Amino acid sequence: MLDGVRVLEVSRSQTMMAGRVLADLGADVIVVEPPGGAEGRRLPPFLGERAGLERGLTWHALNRNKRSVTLDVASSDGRDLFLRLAATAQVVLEGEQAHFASLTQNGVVHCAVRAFSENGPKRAAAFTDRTIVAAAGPAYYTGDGDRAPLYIPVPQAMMEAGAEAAVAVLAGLAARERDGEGQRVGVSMRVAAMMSAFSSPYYPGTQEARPQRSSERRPVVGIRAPQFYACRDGFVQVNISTGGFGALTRRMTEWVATCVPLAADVVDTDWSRFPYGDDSDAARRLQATIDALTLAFSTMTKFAIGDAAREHGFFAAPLLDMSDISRFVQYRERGLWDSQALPDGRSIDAPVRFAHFDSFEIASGRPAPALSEHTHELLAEVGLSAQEIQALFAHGIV
Amino acid sequence: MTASLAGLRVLDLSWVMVGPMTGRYLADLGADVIKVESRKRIDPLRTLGPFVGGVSHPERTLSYHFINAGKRSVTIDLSHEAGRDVVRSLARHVDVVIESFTAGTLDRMGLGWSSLSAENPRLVMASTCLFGQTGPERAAAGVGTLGAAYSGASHLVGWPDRPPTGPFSAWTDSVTPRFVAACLLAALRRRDREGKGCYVDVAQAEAGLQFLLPEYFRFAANGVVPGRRGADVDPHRAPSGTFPCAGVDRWIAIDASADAHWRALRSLAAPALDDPAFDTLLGRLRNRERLHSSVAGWTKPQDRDALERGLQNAGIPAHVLADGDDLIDDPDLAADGYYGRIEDPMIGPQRMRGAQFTIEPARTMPARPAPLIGASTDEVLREVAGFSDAKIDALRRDGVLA
Repeated sequence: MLDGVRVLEVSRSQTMMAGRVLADLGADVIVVEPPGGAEGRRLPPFLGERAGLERGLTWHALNRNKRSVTLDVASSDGRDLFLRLAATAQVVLEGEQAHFASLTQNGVVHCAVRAFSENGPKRAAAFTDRTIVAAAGPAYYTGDGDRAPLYIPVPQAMMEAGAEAAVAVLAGLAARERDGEGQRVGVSMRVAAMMSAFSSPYYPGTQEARPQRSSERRPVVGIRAPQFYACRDGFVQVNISTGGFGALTRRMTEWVATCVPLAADVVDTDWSRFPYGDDSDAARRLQATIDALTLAFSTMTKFAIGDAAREHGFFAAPLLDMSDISRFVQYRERGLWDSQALPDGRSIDAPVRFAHFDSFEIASGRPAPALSEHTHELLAEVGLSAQEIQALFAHGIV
Repeated sequence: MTASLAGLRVLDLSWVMVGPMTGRYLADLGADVIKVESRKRIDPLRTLGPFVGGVSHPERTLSYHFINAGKRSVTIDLSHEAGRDVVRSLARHVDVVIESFTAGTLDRMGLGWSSLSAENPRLVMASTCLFGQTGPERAAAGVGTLGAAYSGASHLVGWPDRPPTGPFSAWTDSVTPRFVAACLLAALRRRDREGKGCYVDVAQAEAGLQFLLPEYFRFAANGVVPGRRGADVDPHRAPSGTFPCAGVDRWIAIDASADAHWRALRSLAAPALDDPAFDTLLGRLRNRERLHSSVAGWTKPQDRDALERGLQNAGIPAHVLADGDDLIDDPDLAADGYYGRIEDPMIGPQRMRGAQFTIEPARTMPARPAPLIGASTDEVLREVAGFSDAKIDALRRDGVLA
């Protein structure tokens, strides 16, 4: 889809997802790494629990379909080589240190993925992925209220910012296509990660109770319904929805009444109008529903509950672990997986097809590049001789 | 300079978050995004808060503005065949259609990709739902909390000694729109070059898995099934974590594992962290629990904002755990124009975000209010579908434009 678009990605953790989405959609993405390797190669986990520049599984997940060239952009030779490569590219993607922003004058779409705002008081703040997620809001609201906040155990700021930058780059390309001008695109990791704080910044200006850090739902008639229920082999997520989705809760109570005893008038509750009547009656209905779900789920498997929810049409889902995900029939039959080679010679099924199209297919194509794997072919393409490339190597520039 | 997508027209048939936020990305880039909704079957987002003034009312929720800013709203009742005809007429004159119904719903209404693309071969259309348009479970209805469960996220977040807590809110709703928007923009680029439309199908649960790939690869390559690790998300770093500060539920994240950051922290906190066991990274990792409780003992009595400033002045990665009150008031977020002021006829002046990123010299749109329900019905049907006033009046009389 992006045939003819060449992207130079000066690799940072926060650029990797962007480059990968663009590469998956057909762009020719070249990862530019310092001679010692990109920082993303040092992110855990590692293949076989053994560290190594070619063994980082985060690297493998986020760099397929790209080629790698090493050059030291801080040296004048490295900079010159970069500019030669950039003359063949439409997009340059960088982290917070934007070395090549002036390339917009040459018609390039330049995207810098910074930690904070470009012009704000935190523009030079020290950061890691964890501190950005803290700054963005999701961490404060994740976990149990009586304990410290939690994080998703995968760096999320780099994922959010990378996905955001893919959109931003394509938006910049659209403008370039129309006007023929280079575009300067700025993405903030913090702003990107704020998407997962949802509407929480907008509660303070209202009289409504702020969101709380809790695995339970907002209180209704004084009752906080759990979101997670134990079942025989794990947990399930359940939404006792009201309002627009109330009909689904009705179907859930009808189903649960076939499994465990539940008073007929509770089954009959109109969840689209809930809560109604006096509070104590509403509380009785809600609590009876929670108790019935707790009892019914305790003897069932998570997949059986998921099957029932999908069959009867209500909001309950098994908490899948990664093994469950690899076996889940829906993902397999839909074609999420494609084989991706690992450096130990094995191949794994990777969840490659994040989208399906009527007239395009995402494929795992080439595996993530080895360090400097394509330096020779790419520098030869911009006119360097074999002797010259060897000289650059001898000087530690590539 | 004009915005990237000025002149592009989008028909947004979606509700709640994933589809509408995708539409908002396009609106922020200058596209004319027409949101189709109905008073008969109101967008559930309009029933969710926070409501300005504490009054639960479909025109008063800030969540709706957050996700639908800058769109035009038309009301069409899709349960009428005539309503579906109106959508067909509009779809002939737009570049993009976005929909997020449960798979199969739009086909049953005769508004699926095969029908719409037959009449508008240059159409680019995106469908997004829990599991996508194909596969045995495609017809499952879902929201972002279920997406989090099916993507593997909910299983990974929580304390090992308690039930999971899952990620905050309807997690896959925040992840997925970027994938849909990127696919749409790529497809539009191809259409402009080759004249060919495109159909994009994104499953929200599968999109969520993309943000968890390192844990999936840990399983697929190493055979380890990751579980809940509590606050200990990165066992390779120390000190690195969330530490308590003075006040109720006030916290700071500090990540001073790198040698220079550690030395700076140690001198700032002296003598709290002087224990020679902490001299080396290896020592810190082996005594991680003791190290982290020493750091917590040092942070506990301190004001979190002053502490953040002190740590940042010493070059140490640190930030308070921001809550909504912090996020709406942070001057750093105002600096690049992330927040703007909107003026809405129902809720008056409000602070609301603009675009998610900046582009120059083409620009993104400033913060704008979301539309009142049906505010542009007549104007859109006249301008876009070419309907006469008489036809619009007749449709309204028949209850089609409700």
